[in-house]
Amino acid sequence: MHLRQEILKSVLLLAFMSLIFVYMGFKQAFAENSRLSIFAAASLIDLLPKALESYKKHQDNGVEVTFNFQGSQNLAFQIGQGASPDIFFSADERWMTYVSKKGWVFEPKAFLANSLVFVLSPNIAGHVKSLMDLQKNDLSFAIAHSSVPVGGYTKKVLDNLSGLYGKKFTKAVRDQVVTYEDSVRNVILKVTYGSVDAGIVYKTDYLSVKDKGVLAIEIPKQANIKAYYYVAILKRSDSLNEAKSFINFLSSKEANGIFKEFGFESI
Amino acid sequence: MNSLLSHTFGKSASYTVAIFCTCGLILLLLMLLPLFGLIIGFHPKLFLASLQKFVVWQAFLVSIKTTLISVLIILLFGFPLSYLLSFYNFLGKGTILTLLELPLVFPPIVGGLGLLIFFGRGSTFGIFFKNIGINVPFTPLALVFVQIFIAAPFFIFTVKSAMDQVDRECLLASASLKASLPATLLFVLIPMVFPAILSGLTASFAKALGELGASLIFAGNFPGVTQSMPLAIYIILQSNFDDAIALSMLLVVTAFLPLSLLKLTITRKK
Amino acid sequence: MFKCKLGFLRDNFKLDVKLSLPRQKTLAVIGENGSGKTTLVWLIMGLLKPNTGFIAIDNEFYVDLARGIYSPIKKRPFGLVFQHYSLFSHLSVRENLIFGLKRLRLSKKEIEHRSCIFTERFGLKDLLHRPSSTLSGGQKQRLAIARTLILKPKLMLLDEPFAAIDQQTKTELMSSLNYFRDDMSLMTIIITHNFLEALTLGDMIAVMDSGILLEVGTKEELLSRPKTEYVAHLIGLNLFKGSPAQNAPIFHTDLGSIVTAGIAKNKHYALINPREITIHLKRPDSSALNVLEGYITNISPLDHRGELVRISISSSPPVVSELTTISANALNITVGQKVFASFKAASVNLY
Repeated sequence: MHLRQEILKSVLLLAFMSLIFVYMGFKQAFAENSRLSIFAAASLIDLLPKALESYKKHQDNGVEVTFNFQGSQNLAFQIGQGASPDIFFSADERWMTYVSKKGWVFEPKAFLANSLVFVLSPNIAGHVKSLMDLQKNDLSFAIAHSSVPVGGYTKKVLDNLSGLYGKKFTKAVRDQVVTYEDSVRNVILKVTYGSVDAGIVYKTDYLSVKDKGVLAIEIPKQANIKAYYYVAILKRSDSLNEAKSFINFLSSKEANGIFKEFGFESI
Repeated sequence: MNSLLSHTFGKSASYTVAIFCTCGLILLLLMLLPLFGLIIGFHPKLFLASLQKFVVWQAFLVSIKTTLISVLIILLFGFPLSYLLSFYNFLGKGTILTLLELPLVFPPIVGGLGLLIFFGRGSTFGIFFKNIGINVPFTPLALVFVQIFIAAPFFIFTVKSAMDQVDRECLLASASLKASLPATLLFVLIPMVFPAILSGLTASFAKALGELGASLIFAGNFPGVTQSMPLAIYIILQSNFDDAIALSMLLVVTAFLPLSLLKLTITRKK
Repeated sequence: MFKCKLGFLRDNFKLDVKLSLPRQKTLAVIGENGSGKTTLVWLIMGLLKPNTGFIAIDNEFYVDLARGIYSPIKKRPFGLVFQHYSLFSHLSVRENLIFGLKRLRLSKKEIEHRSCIFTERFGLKDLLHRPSSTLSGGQKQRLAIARTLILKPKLMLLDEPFAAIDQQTKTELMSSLNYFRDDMSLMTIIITHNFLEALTLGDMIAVMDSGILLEVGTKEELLSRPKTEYVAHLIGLNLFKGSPAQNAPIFHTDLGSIVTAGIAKNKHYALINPREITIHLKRPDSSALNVLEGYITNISPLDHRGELVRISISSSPPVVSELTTISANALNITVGQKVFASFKAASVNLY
């Protein structure tokens, strides 16, 4: 008898507490409308906040924007698991196609381009002077793994380079890879602070750490790729107007000026 | 629900106990959620298919190799340290004890960052190590370093605590019975703290096996070399969900196995 | 003959002791907690290192710091039984018993042989394979002594061996010890805080306080001529230090004066047997020249059969009286009660 009473009481308390939690959850969900949640490829980490700043100068509609910068593969995965940003910026077509095929976004649009470059950490500066020096075999390389957009591009570029300079070159570079990072920012970070000697990143990433002593070695145009960035609005967004407004701004002359500043190429 | 106190406090107890039951149930449920999730996501066929993939076994081997080495080092070097901390008093002992707690309060990822800077090619130590031919970052050795950092305190404090509770007079008795220090360690002290040693080892093993934050930063991600099981789960997650689940199951079982074997042997002894 | 002289200083504790003990004799060391008894025994055993001194049996020196000799425990033929037994709880009774033998690397045959003898002698036969943690207090003590004795030491040191044992076990243990004592020419030093025990167990008694030996002697010597108030108090005698009056039969002490029989000269101690002190509820009207007034501060049984009681009175000077329990009950006295203690001048022994 005592036991039953105790169980009954605890069940009631449990039910009561869950009601409170549910109520609070609802409140949260219906709370703010003028919020924009943006999932963006890691390489846009410097660009987008600056673009937002400029956007806000033009249209101060009091919208609160939050960013989530990670490898596009991570972001696509999170969207698949139920995350609900309003806008998704992908660094390659592959992941945008993925979310598009699943029916999670409205018509995607290409809006930006980038290309790759070899980067060298400050402490091996004198040691490597040209592309050919990269075969030296005593360097450590960091690149992104293949499911990351820049990782896919890296693979393509290396294949192109083997066509240009022979398989030996590409093999030499590949043999010196010590880590496959899950985001291009992790690659540039490791190169900047000397944990690895060299890496392959976007030109824009190189430009962002140029002042820290990082050096670049250009990839010949024939071997390089053009990385297209795509943007799309999520179907389940409830800030459609705000999202559209921001994306329209990105096609403006003003925005294009900012892209150029950071080293991106406009479409 | 039976307790020594079932009838001690009478009616006034039932409300308190009811609230305690609720709190306990909630916490228990929260703690079991991850396990429930894994069980829900488990499909035997897919699991077996994943287990046959090279990438899965590769990660398993990397984890097992490095963790076993780490635990071995923790045992061989941690036992003497626990002994000294328990039986000796010296200048700076308090500081050392606090420092040993560091890995417990340091977020692993911060630990990884620290190690990265220390061994980085730009630092003096990094260059020194490179010159004597020992390469640490992005090698399995890096994983071992990280695992030792994360797991050692669990072993040391468990064993030290057990040693603290050993009756010092027993050791004196051993000496009075003509035993040397090594003999006393072997025949008296170690048998007495053996359960603590085992439990410290299993805790260290599980902690080392599951380490992700620091190894991500310091050890890097290279399949077959530094891609441990937790890291593989993180990376593979985006491309192949089922492989990730299989790896997770594998990881949980591997971490759990020593503990359950241990419990089995102890209950058998009794 | 065991001889030792030890000087030891640690923190604020200083120990300075000189002892000798003939073969087959037992020395009982009594003292309060903190008097240094355990330290003394640890020093002899080798668990502590003295600052100065020597330890020897006959002409064999195990410690002689003046000559730089300091043998490790392994080389000393001494055995120590700890106050709290300190058995190895993770080992069985048998494993505890032969622990020392194994450390000395004796042959299996020898180990077996001795194990048999001591198991028999100490009644451990049925307990051999039990875990030592499951034994009763008395059994544990037997094992503790057996495992030390099995190593055939020349000198046995026992730290409060009978603190928590009943009388029968105590008697059995003592007889076992004595058996081996004769058989192995064993010397024994027993530490105790119970004077009765010391009296019954020791051929010689040493009284220790604050690191020094106050008195050493046979029990007869101590009982008849205790040299310090402390010892007398321990024994339960009334001993007072003081000086006799010049021209009157009075002995002055710091705490009061006593009427003596006759004028004393050059006597510094006054001793009164407790049995010669009578307790009265009202001021007595007797011929006794000493009548002291005071309150009862303590009533305690004197022997383990409860036939005698010792009563302490806060008079000037304070005295201790001994009565049969029957008499005490007849008087119906309680602690705190005001009473009168009387004794004849002739009962006062001066020396």
